[in-house]
Amino acid sequence: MSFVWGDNVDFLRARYAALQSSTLFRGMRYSEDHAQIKEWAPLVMEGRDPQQKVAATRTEIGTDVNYGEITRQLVVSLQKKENFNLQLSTEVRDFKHNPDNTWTVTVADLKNNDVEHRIKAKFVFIGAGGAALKLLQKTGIPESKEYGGFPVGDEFLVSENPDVVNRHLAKMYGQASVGAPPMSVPHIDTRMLDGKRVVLFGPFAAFSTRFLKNGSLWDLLSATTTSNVMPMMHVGLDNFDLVKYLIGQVMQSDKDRFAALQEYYPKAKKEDWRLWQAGQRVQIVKRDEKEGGVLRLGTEVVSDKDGSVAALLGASPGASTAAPIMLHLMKKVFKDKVSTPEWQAKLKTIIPSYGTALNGNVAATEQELEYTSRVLGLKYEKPKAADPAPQAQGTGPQTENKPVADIAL
Amino acid sequence: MKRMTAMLITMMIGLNAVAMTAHAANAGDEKETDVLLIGGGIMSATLGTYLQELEPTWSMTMVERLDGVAQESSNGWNNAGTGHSALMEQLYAAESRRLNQHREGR
Repeated sequence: MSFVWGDNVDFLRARYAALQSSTLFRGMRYSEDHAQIKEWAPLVMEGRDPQQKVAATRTEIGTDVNYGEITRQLVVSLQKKENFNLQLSTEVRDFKHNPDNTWTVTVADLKNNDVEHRIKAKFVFIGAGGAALKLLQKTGIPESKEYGGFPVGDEFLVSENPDVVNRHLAKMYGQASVGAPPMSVPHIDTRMLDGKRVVLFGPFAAFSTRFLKNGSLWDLLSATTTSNVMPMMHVGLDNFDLVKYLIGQVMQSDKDRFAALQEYYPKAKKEDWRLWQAGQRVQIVKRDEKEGGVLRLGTEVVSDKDGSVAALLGASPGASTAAPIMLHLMKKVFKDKVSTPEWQAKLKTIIPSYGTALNGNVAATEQELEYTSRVLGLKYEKPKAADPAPQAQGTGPQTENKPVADIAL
Repeated sequence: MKRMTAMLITMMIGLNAVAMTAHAANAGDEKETDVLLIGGGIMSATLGTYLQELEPTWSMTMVERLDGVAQESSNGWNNAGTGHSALMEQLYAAESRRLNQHREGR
């Protein structure tokens, strides 16, 4: 669900109208009616000023996702093959590029006095979250010099009280503040974590110089180099809104955070909520000829010219885009392989809609959603006619038949 | 003064080089792999899954510095558990980005 109030109502209304030009969003509902929205999300409407202008969109299909569990299951499946080897408590220390285009990577066994050994690989993928930037810099490839990064931490308010949890069944997103990064949009979400249903509200940005939750306080300093220090300072100067946002967030007290929660859940009680320190991300900055440095929102694959090493940088979106991003990575580094009939056929088996443009093709979209829902054990109903949305007022933007991207990057 | 600083830096680099050589000498044997996946999160797991299907004969090694997979950003408690497909996040979808700029008068 999306939920807005006041001046943002015009925006959501125009957005809903604009999305009608895409067949991918069929079935999305729209309402400005307090009673209807209360039916969708009672906690958000109870105790709200009946005169307040509100609007919501709702899509019934979908689910909360536990990406940690998906990761664990994928790795268990990978381990069934003998030629897959998992080494835990193993930290990468150094990279050496060999003349035959392979890499010799030195790793340390953290459970055994940091004893080092070497792994020689034809292709190296750096998918180390917040640590990816520093590891990429260690490879020394010229492409790595284009990037810098600064850490952003996330905090959430969590409630496990059944009175709260059982009365909210939605992932509801609000409107982000101007200049705030994508990962900062406030949302009040039903989550299923470790078999337990909870409600999370947030995020609140927290400042730390760590690049990982289990990182070092020196991360920011050690990843800032002579080639990226100026671009990074430029970003600070040119994105004053973002800097202001981050400072504002870091200065927040428990009272401020609770006030933010009450904007979405007016009758919230303090005793039902606790503060949770969630993930640590690294927002990336790219060197730019004209601007000095530009902030890169989203996720970016960086690889060398021969495709022998690739790293994934960026803060958000991450896990939810793993499947398309890794496909994009393979197209970049295994270009010749991807175009072979063998790979094409296998990719089509893995992703039945591979190579089919779903937007504009109602039958194919419905078939794909129906198939995916069946595999995941989710309820799927074919979408009905769209809700009428009142015309946007004044200079509001008009609908254009502009294609909407299949994936959000 | 300048010379002394330069000397000190040279000495530090020199000491570092000695330390690094010592480490390298201690290093055990070298193992070969077709694909090295650094990090035990959703990205490495996804890439590994694709490659195991596409090239079943390729050997793969996954290294992770913590004592289990999915302990950092992939962990359910460390992300929003949302599929960012523009269904509810208003800033995703090209059209809404354009609208946003319009709204902010840019």
